[in-house]
Amino acid sequence: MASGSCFRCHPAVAWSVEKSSIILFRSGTNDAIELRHPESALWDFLSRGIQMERITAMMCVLRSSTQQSAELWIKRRTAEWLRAGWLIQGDRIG
Amino acid sequence: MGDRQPIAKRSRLKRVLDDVYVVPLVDRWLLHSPLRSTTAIVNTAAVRELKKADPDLVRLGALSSLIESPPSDPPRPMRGPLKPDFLGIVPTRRCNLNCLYCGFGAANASSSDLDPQLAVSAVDWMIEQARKNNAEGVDIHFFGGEPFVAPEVVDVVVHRARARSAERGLNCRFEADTNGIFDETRCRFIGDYFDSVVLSFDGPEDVHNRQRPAKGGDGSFETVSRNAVYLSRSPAELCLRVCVTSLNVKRLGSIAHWFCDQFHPAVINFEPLKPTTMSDRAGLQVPDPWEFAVRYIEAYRVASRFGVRVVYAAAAIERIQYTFCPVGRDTLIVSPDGTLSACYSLPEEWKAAGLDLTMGHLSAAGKMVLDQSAIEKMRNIPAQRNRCRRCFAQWHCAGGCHLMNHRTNRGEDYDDFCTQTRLIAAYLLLDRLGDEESLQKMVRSRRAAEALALVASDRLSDWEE
Repeated sequence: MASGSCFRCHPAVAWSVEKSSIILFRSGTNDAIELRHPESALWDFLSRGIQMERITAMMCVLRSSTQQSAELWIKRRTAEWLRAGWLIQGDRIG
Repeated sequence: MGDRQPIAKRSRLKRVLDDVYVVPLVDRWLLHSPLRSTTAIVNTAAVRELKKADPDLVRLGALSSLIESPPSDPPRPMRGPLKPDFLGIVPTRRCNLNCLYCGFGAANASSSDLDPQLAVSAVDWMIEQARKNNAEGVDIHFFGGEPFVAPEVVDVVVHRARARSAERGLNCRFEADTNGIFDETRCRFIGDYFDSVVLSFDGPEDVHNRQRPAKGGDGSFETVSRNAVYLSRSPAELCLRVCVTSLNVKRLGSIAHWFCDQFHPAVINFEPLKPTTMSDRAGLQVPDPWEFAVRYIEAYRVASRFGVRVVYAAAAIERIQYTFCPVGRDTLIVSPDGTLSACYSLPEEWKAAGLDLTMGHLSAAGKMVLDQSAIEKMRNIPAQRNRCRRCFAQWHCAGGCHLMNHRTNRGEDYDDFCTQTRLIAAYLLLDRLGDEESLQKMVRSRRAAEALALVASDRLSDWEE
């Protein structure tokens, strides 16, 4: 994954940190999804604008995986979230 | 006369003499027996009666229950399998401030942070221990240095702990001791994920910036107060921790008022300065113990009107404890180099006190290697406090910091720590009893305070008219 790839949360998306998951809501709709570990960790890191290299390193630790496997996993998850409109491409604002 | 008493009664009477403490007020006595859950204001006649070999239970009235009812067992050293009450994580000894009194080595800290992989191993171990011990959950505390200066360690620990504890059906609680110097994004994360935040905040801008400057000499007040506001509105419980020195001791009441009004914390914790080489060099001084006790109770009462709890750790009259700190509770604290110990302070501090508080280490492969004999030794350290046996506050204070006990080779006499602790504990007991008159008399009279704080023994067995 290119280290310059940036994502940010769709402006219409809000989320709630629960005991062991994160729930995403799309304002103005009934759309909601629950993210459990390790997806919830990835969402947290992306939402805070952490650099992709550091996200990959942390996901390696959390998933007990190689860097290559973590990169591939992150690429798949972010692609899903982009398609579903939870994420958009671009620098985080704020 | 003693021979005519049944043996059981003689034995009960002896226990009463050992379990009951009396401390002088201006014109009465504060009677306190924590193991019998009894505190009372009594007159000299009552004390005299209680001390008799054959007291008149009718005359004693409600106090007769002291003789008739068995006491609780005193707290004892832990035994059996390891049962850590929490896992301490020190992600780094580095810090982004330059506090004048730092005793945690931030000024000369190694740049090596705890390896996130090792941190995760410690978390996995702790959760398995909790499961084996049938605990309801795990508590993980972050300390430093400044823990958020090593953010990846905190992030992986939090997410790993949440995931693993959920898999095991356990609750998971996070607490951080922090200087409050982080950006808004990090502040939001803390508010969302942490249950409790102990934020070091020494008071209004002048005193806070004087005692807790940033590196380079700028003030830290603005950032800390901004984050305190945010955290006070978050789900995390906010505790503001004040290091009390000669600079701010006279202002504890106004500090408490300002904190309550501006930040609505759950707790305000006032702790006197522990002198360090750095604080000596900076000319910072410990507060006068008599002054600290009086100002503390003033702050306590101010905050009570706001519904905010005020705490001085050694005067925890609401509980009975065997040890003042993590030492003796099976607590495991992971340092950046993987050492496992019972204390947040630096090993150099332990050595200076003639102690070794190491309990093991995390191997490079992430295995927890524990030294069972060290654990047993740690469990018994808190019992080494002979001076405390005569003190009415011994089961609340539990002797205070063990490093201080050993380092200063505190003998049998009470020192400044004892003075302020005994006074504050007595004032809090009077407040709890609702005896405003006695409290005010004690607070206003240095002579009365000295009579209380300096008496050699509070035990009823040693009482003399």
